Amino acid sequence: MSDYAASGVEGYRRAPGMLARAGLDGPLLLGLLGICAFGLYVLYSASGQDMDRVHSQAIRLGAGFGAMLLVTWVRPHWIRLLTPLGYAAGILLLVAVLVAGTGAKGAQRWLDFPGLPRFQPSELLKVLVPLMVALWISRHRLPVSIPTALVALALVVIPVVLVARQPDLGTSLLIAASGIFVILLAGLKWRWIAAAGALSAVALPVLWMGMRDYQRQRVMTFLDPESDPLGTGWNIIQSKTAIGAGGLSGKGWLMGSQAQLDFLPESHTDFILAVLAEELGLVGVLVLMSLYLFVIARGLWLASMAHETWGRLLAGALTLTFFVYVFVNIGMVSGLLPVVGVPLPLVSYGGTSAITLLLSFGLIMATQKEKRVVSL
Amino acid sequence: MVARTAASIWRLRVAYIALLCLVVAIVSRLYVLQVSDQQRLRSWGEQISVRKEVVPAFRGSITDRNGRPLAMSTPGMSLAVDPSKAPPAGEWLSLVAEEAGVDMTRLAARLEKAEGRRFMYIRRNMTPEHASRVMDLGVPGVTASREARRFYPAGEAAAHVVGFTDVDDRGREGLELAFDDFMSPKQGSRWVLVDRPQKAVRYLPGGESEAFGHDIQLTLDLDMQYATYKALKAAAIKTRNSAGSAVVIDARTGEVLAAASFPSFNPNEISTRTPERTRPRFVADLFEPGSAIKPFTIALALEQGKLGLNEVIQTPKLYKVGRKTISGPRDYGELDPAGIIKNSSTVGTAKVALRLEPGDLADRLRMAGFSQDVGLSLPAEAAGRLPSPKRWSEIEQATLAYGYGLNTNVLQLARAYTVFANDGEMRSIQLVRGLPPADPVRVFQPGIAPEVLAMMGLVTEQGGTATQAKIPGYSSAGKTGTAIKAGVGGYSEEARRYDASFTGLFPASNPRLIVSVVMHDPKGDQFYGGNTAAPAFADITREAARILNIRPDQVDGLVAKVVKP
Repeated sequence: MSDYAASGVEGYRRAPGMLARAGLDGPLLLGLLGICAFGLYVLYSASGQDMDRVHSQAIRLGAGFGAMLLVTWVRPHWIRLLTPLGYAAGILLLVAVLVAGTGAKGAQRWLDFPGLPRFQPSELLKVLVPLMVALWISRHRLPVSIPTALVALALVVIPVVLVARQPDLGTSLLIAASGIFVILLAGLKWRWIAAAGALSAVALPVLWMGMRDYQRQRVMTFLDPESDPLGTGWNIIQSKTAIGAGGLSGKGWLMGSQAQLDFLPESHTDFILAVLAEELGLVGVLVLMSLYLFVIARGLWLASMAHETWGRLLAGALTLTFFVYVFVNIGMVSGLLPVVGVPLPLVSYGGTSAITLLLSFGLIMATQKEKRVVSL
Repeated sequence: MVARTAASIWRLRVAYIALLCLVVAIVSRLYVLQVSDQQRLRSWGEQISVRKEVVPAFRGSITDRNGRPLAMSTPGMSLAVDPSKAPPAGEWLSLVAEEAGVDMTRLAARLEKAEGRRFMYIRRNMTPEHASRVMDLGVPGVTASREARRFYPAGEAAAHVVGFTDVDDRGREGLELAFDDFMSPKQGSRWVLVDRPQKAVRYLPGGESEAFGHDIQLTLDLDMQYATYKALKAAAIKTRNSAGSAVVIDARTGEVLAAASFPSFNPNEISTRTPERTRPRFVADLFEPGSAIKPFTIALALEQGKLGLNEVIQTPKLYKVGRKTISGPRDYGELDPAGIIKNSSTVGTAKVALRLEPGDLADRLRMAGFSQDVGLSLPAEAAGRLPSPKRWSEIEQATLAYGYGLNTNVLQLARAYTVFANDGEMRSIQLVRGLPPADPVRVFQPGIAPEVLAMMGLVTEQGGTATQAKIPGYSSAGKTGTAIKAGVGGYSEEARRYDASFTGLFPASNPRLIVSVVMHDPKGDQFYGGNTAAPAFADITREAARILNIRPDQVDGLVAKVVKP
């Protein structure tokens, strides 16, 4: 027994202590690292065995973990202090994108400041909106009063509209979800939720009118992909074909014909799940989903452990948003939802998204700091 | 601090259940796609990423007896265009037309007609170099595919024997048609994985292996074929472009060494293929052999003892048979059998014929292969006919004896003459090696044919009817035949047309070759077999002696050497 205590186990026991001192949550960190590792493995195949892509994605993920460390290192007090400033800056950047952004395919999404890497300000709002709404609501008494809720709603709607104008339907929906989750978690009365639901049902036709042509096309394609198999239905048919072709155990890593032969569009970004499904099968998808669910469960547990309202709302909303991310992407790739351009979190190739996601997990971990301060 | 009320706990539970439902929805969706629907989706996927590709196999080649190619397949290319993918007609059309070697305006017209279709050939059977030059233009929708290209190195010289194939590589004429199934390849197939731009990525297991067509080797000797064709062509031009054919067969084995027909065509050029030119006259054109039959009549009479070797027969200019009168060119006076052959005396032959039992000669001629096809399975072969009346009239008996009333092709005639080289046994004709020859047929009792052969040796000597068939240093035996072509309503005296032939054995002392030449409808003042076909015989044998290394048998070259055993 003494040998046992003296060797590896001793080191293992010390490790959580070290992580905790850095403000990190061991299980959550482990889960995220698992997802990222699995993601890089799939990306290698999905990018056509392009090691450069894998390298650059690994660097971005590293930067994401760096951001996570930074956030957990900062005291929550400072985070709250900086939130309104960040939110205002975020809104300004969104306006800047609309005025001077760059982009492709009829959408302006990126800001290209000289000397800085190109980035999508809308991604930042995915973190800033829940931060701001949580801050706003936590400053008021619970349950939420109507005026407080309306202001909170306004804080959500402004960036959502700005992002939708870019236009970027997927991101704006995710931002809306992240903000609304905060309001819902704060304890809105059921009848208000029901009323909001009814209102959005009425708003749907209005939304339809305001959509760009290609957005409408996507919805139509979602409803009947076979109607235009060579045009807009191509993506979804190809991805369903790829997923189906994988079967239970898949065709084997690097062996997926749909993915490797360019039939599957966006195979290394939004549709990377189809590559995974074709090559590693249902088993592979379930492994990834288990990792996601573990991370989500851990996030929700951490949210419930936070003592402060701000922490609970923020951690809960960020975790649920992460869940929506996963759900929307898989739903979209498997043909359950329309194609809205949401990447598979931490697996799809793309920088800003990976960094903001890891940043948001840093925030979830950061909400635990105050619990400790209070409990000690 | 938020109080943990019962309501908030309940609310949390609802949220968890909602999350759980979504997870279940996704997992069951994936289950449906990957397990229940897997077969359908996988085959869908294979439909778009797996193609069946043809693996070309080549048609068998045709070679001469020495292995020299007469027909061979080489890799060729076909260019096609998908009109729906091609850009609208414009400059690219003229560029493609120029590189592909097709007419620009015709291509444009065809393309216009093909609108709405997905496939149109630009040109088939191109050389790979030309095709790749077109492909280098990079016009969308233009594709090249491998295809066998048939090539005939012997060109027009052997065109009628070899025949030709169509663009689909199927035999259309000649041996290409006769042995089409045998020479046709079995195209293989393989499954190939393609990417989205339809480029092959890798081959998959499965598919059918290709099988090359079988080669055939002919008994033909290409040098002999060239020499024969050349001689025939010269004779045809000399007689003002009459048509004709010439064959050379091995006297001992019946193997065809050359078979030519004029006019000919270049099998490599489609434009030269007219029915008149592609007709393989050596099997397709029937003619009345005329005097070429006389040696058979004499041989039969000798065999039956109805004619003595030294018997003398009066041969006046005119001779009445029943109510008809047979006329010769002149009164030859007294002729022995050799004299009848040498002078080709019609009256003499008729007199001999009337000594025979009616029908005997026709039976013998049938045994010698007349009206029997030569068994080469060449398309367009005509077997000819022999008369077989219930009761022979005297005039029918007499005219058959000098070659009227029956018809034959030149190859049959040459085959019949093998009788005189093999002591009365007829050899069957062979053209394709490896096929078992038919058994020889005994036509005359032993000892008869050499006598007649010796008589035929006189034909080419001084005073014979075919002195022009003779070449220095060699003896030649043979028989001319000049038949008036039967027109509508009989043999017209006005505007006479002839079939003039010479069939001979070379060298006469020990025949190795039988050469038969026929000119159809020679124009001008030369229309006898002796001055139209016999010179071609001389040209052919002169070349044959060189090509086949035949030893001269008449060193003095002046005195007829009649072999008498």
